Amino acid sequence: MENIYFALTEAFNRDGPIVVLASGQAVVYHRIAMMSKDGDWIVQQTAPACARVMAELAVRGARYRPGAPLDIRWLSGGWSSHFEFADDRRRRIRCDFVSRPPRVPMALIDEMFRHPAREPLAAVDPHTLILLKQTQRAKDYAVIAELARRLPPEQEIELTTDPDRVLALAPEVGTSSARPAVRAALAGGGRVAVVTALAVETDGLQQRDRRRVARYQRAAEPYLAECRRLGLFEAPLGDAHPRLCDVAAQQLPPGVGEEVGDGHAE
Amino acid sequence: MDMLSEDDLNLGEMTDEELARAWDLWFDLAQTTNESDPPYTHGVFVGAEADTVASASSRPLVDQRQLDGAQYRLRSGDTLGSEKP
Repeated sequence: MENIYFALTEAFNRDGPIVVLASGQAVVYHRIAMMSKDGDWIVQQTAPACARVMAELAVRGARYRPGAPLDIRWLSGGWSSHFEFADDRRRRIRCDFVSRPPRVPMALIDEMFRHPAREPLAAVDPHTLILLKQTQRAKDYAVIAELARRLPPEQEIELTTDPDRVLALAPEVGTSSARPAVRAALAGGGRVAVVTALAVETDGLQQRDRRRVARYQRAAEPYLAECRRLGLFEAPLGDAHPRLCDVAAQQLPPGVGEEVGDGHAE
Repeated sequence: MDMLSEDDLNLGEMTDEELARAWDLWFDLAQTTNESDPPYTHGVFVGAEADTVASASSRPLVDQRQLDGAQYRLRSGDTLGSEKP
């Protein structure tokens, strides 16, 4: 008995490191919470890596879900690819891939594959996972607080969403911090001021992520409509993939633009 | 301030094998909510799935006997946490 997403990670990486387990299953891997039904990976942005992943998915009978082709032309623009199959116990297995996840510096991603972690499993580290979890969903911010506890204090204070940790760490390691919640703690504003600053910061992150996803959603509408019309999300992977690429070449812009703080180059 | 439940925080004390078993049981039970899962919330296609014919998700995925033998029981109207982080 094993976590199928952990097993898939090992299968994808059998011939060399090409994926890193991310998001929900990385939260499970780090023993933070038992909360994800899907698997998310950062895939190395190369054609052979995409081909290797596709081969593993094809033998499992996967189909595309609505999403971009698993192809570096679109992955490099921040698009995501999504797949689904049923395992031998007929459980729904969903697999999601990006090569340029939001908010994670490109150098950090490149380093993951240049010097892969020597852990039992290739999973993103807590710091990277925190950046991935700065989404529009409120519950991710509870996970961030727990992940931040795995970091050294000088990093924890910059990322934690727990007001108690900000208050506790600020005098010790926060004196040079520019983070508003830390400044509020050091200014003697008390707990309410820290909680307020954290809430404002979280709302800003959520709104930024919402705007980012909305830009992709608008740009994807014609492509998705055409793929649905052609039935490509029900076709076997080997048939669907080249046809998805053809439609995407016509209808899906490689990138949709970024706002400061969205992307991978900061 | 504890932001997660004791059940979550206790994961840290599990061995790899215990974690795998716990996740497997949780995943089995979580299949019961597949039909009512929200559109997926990662990547950049949030909400795109509502108009799509489901593939594997349209089939029954968990034998009721598995659930009957599971440690935890579902009562009518109960739901499991099915969202992905």
